[in-house]
Amino acid sequence: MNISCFSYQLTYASLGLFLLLLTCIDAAQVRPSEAAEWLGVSNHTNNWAVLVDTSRYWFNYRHIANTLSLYRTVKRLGIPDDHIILMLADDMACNPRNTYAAEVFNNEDHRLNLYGEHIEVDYRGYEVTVENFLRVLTGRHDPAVPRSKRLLTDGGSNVLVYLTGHGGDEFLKFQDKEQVQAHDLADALQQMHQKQRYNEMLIIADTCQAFTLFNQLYSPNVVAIGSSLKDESSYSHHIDTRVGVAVIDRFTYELLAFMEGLATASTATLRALFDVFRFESLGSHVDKRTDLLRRPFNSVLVTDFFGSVTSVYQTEEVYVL
Amino acid sequence: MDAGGAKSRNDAISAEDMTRDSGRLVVAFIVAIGLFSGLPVWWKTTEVHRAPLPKLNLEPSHNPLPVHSPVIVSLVLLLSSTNGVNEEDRRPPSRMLEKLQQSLSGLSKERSWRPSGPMPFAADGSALLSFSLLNADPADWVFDWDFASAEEHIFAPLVQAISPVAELAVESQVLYYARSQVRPTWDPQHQAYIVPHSDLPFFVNSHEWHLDTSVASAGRSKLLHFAVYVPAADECPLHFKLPNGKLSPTDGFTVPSWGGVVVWNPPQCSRNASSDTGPRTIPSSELRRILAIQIGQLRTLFGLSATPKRSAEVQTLSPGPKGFAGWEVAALLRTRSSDDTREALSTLRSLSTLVSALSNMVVHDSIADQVTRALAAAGEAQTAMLAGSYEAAASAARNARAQAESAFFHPTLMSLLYFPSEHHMAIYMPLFLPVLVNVCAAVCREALRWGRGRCRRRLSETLSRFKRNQL
Repeated sequence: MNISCFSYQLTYASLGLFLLLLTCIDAAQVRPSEAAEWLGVSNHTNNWAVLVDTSRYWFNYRHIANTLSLYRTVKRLGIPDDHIILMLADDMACNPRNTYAAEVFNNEDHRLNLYGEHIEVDYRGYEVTVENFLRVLTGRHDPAVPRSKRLLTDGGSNVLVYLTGHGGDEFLKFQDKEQVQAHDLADALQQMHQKQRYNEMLIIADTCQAFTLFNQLYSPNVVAIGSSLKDESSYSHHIDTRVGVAVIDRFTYELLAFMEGLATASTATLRALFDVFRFESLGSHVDKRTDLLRRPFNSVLVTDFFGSVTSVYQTEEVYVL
Repeated sequence: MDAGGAKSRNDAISAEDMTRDSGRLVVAFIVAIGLFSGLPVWWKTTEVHRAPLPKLNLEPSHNPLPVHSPVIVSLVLLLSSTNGVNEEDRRPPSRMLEKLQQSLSGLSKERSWRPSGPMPFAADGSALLSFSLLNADPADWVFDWDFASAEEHIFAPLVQAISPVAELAVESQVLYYARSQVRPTWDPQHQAYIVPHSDLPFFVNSHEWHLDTSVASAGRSKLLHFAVYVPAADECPLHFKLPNGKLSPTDGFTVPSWGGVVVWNPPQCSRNASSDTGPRTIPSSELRRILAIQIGQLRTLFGLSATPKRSAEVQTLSPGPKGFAGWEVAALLRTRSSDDTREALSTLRSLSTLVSALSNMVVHDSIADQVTRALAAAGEAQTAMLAGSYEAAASAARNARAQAESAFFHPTLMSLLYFPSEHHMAIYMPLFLPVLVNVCAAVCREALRWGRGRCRRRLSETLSRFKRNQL
């Protein structure tokens, strides 16, 4: 009796508090975006992905497989091809050393050919340069560059950037001859922020010393996850003896294992994804940078970046010509 | 002999002095050249070119005047002029204003579903309308359309009507084997296959609908897709359900800034109808209805309602076959010039922030020129807007935005590669080290010699003083 009475009181009290809160919100005239931040909901209207493999040569097969696996995942979760910029620094499917011509695998069981149908590589081979990568981010292209090679985002876009290759302290190597530095990346993101080219951004790097690449970031609403800390290596997962090289990296393997269980309507959070990565299985410490994000990290859904939203408005009237 | 020996010693000393002095001179000269001409030349030649950008005195008060609900403004003017309100006093009496506000509140909702979304065209005001006829399964039936005549009779006047606001271009294509991603369910009540509202976001099959094939859509242009979906026999007739559970009267939906989709069910959805092989043409009356729905969709993409709203008190001028009424175009034009000016100024502000923050960024003269022109045009637009000449304002605002955008997105404007000071050292040390070592060594030697000479002179002075004291 007492307990139920107490619960009634509690209900009324909480109702009152809620109403009070509502009035407060109303009085302060909170804009929808601010309200969304406060509630921890993303208010994006479209999704984009930039998936980059920065290393070439046969022994870096695993980096291509990493990137193609991510490509397959974001497509499965609904991001259309024209919203994905795929940059592959080499062509493993048609490499003469590939005994499985026109096929790329990310597991020795060969159950899934990553290079199946509908692969749209936007930048390939020697087109994958630091300059082109920064041009994609900042949108400063030659006028003749086609739409498919441009990141045509706006202030409502959530952008996923995935980088894999060989990195070091505050840099990521491109093609074994040049490097993008943490400052370059940070400045490029700031330019995107200034021109309102993203709503929120998730950057994932699977490289050695990956987390150092995010040291210089300073633009708001950016989340970064790196596969290893300073002075740590990121390791490959396993070698496929028939292909002859390692086919996937440990960090990306765990990431995909998590993603395979997700559907388009999943409510899994980035926190849940982050908790998947353990030192025992990776051999490196995965770290995240969330200080630039304006809403709580625990409320960020994986599908805010890996999935796609489409707002649909039905046409309810027939126009009279 | 003795005297001659002394003389020759004196000569040797003076010669030594002379070489010492000239050596000192040479060292001083080299150091001076290095400091006063070498260093500035090196500094100047390694500097990145940064054209000075004009000062942006863009205070918040300098922002363009917000054009409040231009739809209402033009309607008020329209009604006030018809009701014979005095020309001097353009403000209608408050009672009338209240009534108007009530009756217009329905109309003013028109743009509310798109909170602050951009207009559906590129920064330069152009957009390409790409119409696609999608045959889901050609094994069942194949349809073609007479788009050329529709383009001539329906779209040419529409493009003409909207041309003050946006330059639209039209193209069309027919696609085969373009099934939707959604598998509809059979509804015995409606005797039709139904797609619920919740499934509509997945209706567009971006993997198999190859809509984006136009070569005309390069660069930062805008492409709007309008798809007509002809369902296959196993999903015909196909209808959409509204969120309230009723059947959609149009079987169409729009996606903001992407375009729209309409379903067209072939008459008599049975395979028998396609006994004759070869494509059949969609009847012109049917095509007219489809295109009418799509024009309504285009209107919603521009932020208007699909059909012009009207109530008992307010009569609006009908757009008729042109798709956009004159007053609607005027309203859109005002919104656009306001948007353009705001966009141009915010772009310029961002550019200015970036250029001052990134010291490695190369700024060409042409960019500074574009910024100057954009600022001038934005100023013109504001003046014209205040003066009420909206067409001049629109063209100035358009120019301002185009200039600002092309300045910001200029391909040369790349702060490519951040150079830390260690890299500077690493680059220039091999050049400077061979010279610097010699010069430094000479300076040190001269300094030592000078110091030693002073020391010796002071020693000899004290010695001679000591001798004199002894004497």
